[in-house]
Amino acid sequence: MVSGQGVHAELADAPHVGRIVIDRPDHGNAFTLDMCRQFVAALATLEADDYVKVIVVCGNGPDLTVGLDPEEVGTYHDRVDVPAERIPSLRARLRAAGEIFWGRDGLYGRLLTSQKVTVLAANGRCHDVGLDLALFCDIAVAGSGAEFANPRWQHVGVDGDVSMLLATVGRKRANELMFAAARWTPEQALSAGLVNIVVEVPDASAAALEVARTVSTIMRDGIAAEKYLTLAATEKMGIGAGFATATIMSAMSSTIHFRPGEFNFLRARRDLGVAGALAAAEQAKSLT
Amino acid sequence: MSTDTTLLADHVCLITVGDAAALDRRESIAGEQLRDALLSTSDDDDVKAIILAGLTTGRFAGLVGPQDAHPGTRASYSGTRGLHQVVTYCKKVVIAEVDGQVGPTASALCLAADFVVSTSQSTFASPFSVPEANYPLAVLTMRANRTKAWMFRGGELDARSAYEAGFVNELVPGKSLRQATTDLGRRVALMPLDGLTVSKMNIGAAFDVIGVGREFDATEASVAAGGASW
Repeated sequence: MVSGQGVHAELADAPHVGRIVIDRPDHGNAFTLDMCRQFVAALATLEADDYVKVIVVCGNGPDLTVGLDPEEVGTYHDRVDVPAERIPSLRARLRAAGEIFWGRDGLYGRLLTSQKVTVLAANGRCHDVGLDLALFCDIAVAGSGAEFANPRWQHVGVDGDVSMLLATVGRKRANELMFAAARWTPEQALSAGLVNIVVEVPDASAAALEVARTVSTIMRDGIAAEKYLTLAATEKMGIGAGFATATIMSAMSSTIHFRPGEFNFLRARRDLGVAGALAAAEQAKSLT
Repeated sequence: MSTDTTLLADHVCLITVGDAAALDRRESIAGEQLRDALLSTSDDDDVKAIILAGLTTGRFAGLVGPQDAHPGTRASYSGTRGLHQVVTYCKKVVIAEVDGQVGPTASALCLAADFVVSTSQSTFASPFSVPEANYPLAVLTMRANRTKAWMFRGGELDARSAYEAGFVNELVPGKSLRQATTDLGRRVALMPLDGLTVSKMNIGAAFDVIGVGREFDATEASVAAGGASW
């Protein structure tokens, strides 16, 4: 892979610590669909390595990620092996949501069930996919300039899993992110329970690596057993069932109709291009 | 008691409870009026956010036990179309607006609402003296230890403590309260109606996975049997 164009796995500069790097800094580490698959592949590579006990997830550059690439939003159902139709079928939408994001082998499904301990270094914008990475990694360390949000929800509604968000930050706090377009500072994220540690510098990488070093002193079998125990607890909390719901809701949210006066990002992208659509999206958020 | 419904801003509706103390007396008509106002507003496609005001009662005078309650109490408060479930599973986003002393029934409605915006001098009576206060929903909102502490110790929670517990979203000065809830409603209303509907369904499905619906069913059965006693 060409550096700076995707997601890759590497060994970190600490014993038994691997690293997954989101490496597309010239686009704010925006996730393409290929990058979702690369993330899963990187995770699989490190999981298959018995030397690795802990995986640090981080971004290259000031942001963890700005979220899904706006060029590709709304097109993911074109990527599945279902006969193409002018309007994608529901089964194509369901299959895409499952394969790419919420299914057993999707980005979040694989991260949730990882057998290694995952530690997130949350720097800069942790939007959309970045918010979910904070939820599904085991431990999150935030830099002083981190910002947690999912601006896309305001345009299409809350697609994907909500059960982990509700369980992690509490229902009413979750509503702030879901319905009120809140952008949380690291301190707000810490208060809500979204992150474990906030450091006083913008780059949380060193602190995340230090956490990983500590975790790596646990014996391998202990880590594996504890991960299975947390997975069992997660299942009891209904997070697994939440992922099935997430697949359905993701597919449904790709079929929504817009009423007069409602901002339609896909139409704006078609009419104005990506940059114009993003500017229009910002304008649409204004209450004045 | 009367319940007023007015449009505050585009897609933002205000429902004002005329006599919140009547809810603590478990008057059927009071529960039905508020429930019906919520149902008809949530069925209106031009409404995306509902502000629920008039929830304060002054000093709490005591709940009426089920043996004294009107026979229609079960339908108006406890059942599938009872007041508390209507708020919890409302198709639109419900914002509770609070300025003053909140009695137990209104406190349980605040628990059921999506948002609570409060003045800092407000207080919240324990919702757990109301049969419909939903324990799984409270745990999902405030976490288990805080929920149990409030449940077993009773008493009022001041607004600051409620905010820190995750029961209240925002504390504002009294003179800014209506503006704060209206702005929050307008922000919610930026979401497309279809997206908002899917979002609320998504959240409702998550509630049911953790047992919110089953708890309501158990409450209804308990109220029907007169099982809860004061």
